Amino acid sequence: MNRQTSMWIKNAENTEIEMSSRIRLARNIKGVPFTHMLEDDEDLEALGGLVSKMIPDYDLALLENMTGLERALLAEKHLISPNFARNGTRVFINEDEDMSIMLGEEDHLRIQALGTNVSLEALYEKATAVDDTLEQKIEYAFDEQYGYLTACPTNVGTGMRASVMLHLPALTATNKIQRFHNNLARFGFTLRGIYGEGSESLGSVYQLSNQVTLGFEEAVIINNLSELKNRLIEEERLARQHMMTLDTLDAVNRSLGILRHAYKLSLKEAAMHLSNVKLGIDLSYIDLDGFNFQEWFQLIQPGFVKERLTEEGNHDDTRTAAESTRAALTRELLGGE
Amino acid sequence: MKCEICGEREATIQISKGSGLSQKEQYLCEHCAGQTMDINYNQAENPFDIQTLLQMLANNAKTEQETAEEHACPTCGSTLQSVVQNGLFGCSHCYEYFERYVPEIVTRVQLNQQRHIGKIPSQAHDTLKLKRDIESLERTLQEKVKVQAFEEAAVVRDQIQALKDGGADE
Repeated sequence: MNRQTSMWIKNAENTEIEMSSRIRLARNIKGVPFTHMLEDDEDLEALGGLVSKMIPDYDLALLENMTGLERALLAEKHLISPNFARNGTRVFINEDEDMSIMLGEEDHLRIQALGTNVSLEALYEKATAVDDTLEQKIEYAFDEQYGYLTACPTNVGTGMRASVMLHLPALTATNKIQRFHNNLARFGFTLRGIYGEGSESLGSVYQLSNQVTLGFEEAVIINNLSELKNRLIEEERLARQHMMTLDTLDAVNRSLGILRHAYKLSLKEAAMHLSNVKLGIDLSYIDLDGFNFQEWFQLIQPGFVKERLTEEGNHDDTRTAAESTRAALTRELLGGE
Repeated sequence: MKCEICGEREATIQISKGSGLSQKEQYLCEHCAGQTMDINYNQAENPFDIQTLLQMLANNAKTEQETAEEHACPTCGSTLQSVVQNGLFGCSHCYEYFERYVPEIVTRVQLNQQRHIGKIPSQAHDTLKLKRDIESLERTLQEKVKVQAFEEAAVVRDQIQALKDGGADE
């Protein structure tokens, strides 16, 4: 397995506010109980065999043969869900690491397409093409009224979750984010932390996604989401105009100083300072070559930090070891001593 | 220590509010903490809190429910109780078996939406399309009859019959 960040995120352009996007389709096999009701692995194993044949260019990763660290890396790369990292067994991943198919997540199949600087429409086309291929040999659980049947009724209908990652430091600092969260819910959309359901917001990075999966065509959901995304980006830009102050100039440069000179950094702290530096760059307060917010935000996550420790031959599992390695990483990335 | 918001009750919860430039720690009582962002962010009036919703439905159903076995989905053995516990249906058949509760659950978590209009699997496509075409023609037929356009109605009726016959052949 590739223990580094994926190529698509390594090559991510340094965009303002908008980060990566993702489309996920949930599908289940007709006549087979949903994943949590399966008594043994037989059905998923058979499904795995089928998927291998139909999509031969994807690599199958067997989670039971992987270490906890390797599974954490897959989750931090968004190729599997955090829940799947704990309980999953099989995932198919393409070479570019921008497509994955989880077998036996909450639903039998979760097809995912992700990327940066790519439209949700284009990602949907990629995901639905895989769906069409699989459908030639797999009969899905589908109901005329409720569409694609899923274990949780929050996914029923299209089975599609579209999401866009957004960096919203100004809306966070002015506490406007909560209001948006409430308003979005009324339209069937939600703002969540960077690693999805139940995860907290780190470094002012949020995931905007649709909650309603039924009653609208996929293209309409995607279109509505894109409009809301543009609204949020516009609001963030407006809020940033009021942040062009000495306090902000001071804060973003302090953050740069900490990332360059600290010897111990928690995840939360590192995320916050990276977020501040990113804001400083967007506001033209700081000029830094090669600053890759999206990739570095992944590199400070616990799995990638542990990986760095392990590479150095250090098997120290303590928080201090992780925090000191994280600080060494940011010193290196940001050109500290 | 007293709660930083109301200043009356004892502070029992420490929360970090905001992040980035505005991060700060607060010591609050349970009541005030429940009203601030970090907790609300996950729980407040979330129409998609499936667990709460299902629990509510299950409580309503309890009085009607006599024994658990009587209410187990014959395909997967899920009961309303187990569906509530997991927050998940056990199999696709549960959607039919728990039909008394499904419409309410679905409309609640899907903002009043009740009908799928998106992608259809190609295997289901032909039969479903045929069914929808017939339904649409039947509506036309009724309209023609209503305005006593019997000749046109006869044509529509033949079209419906042709579709039904064609469908039966397959």
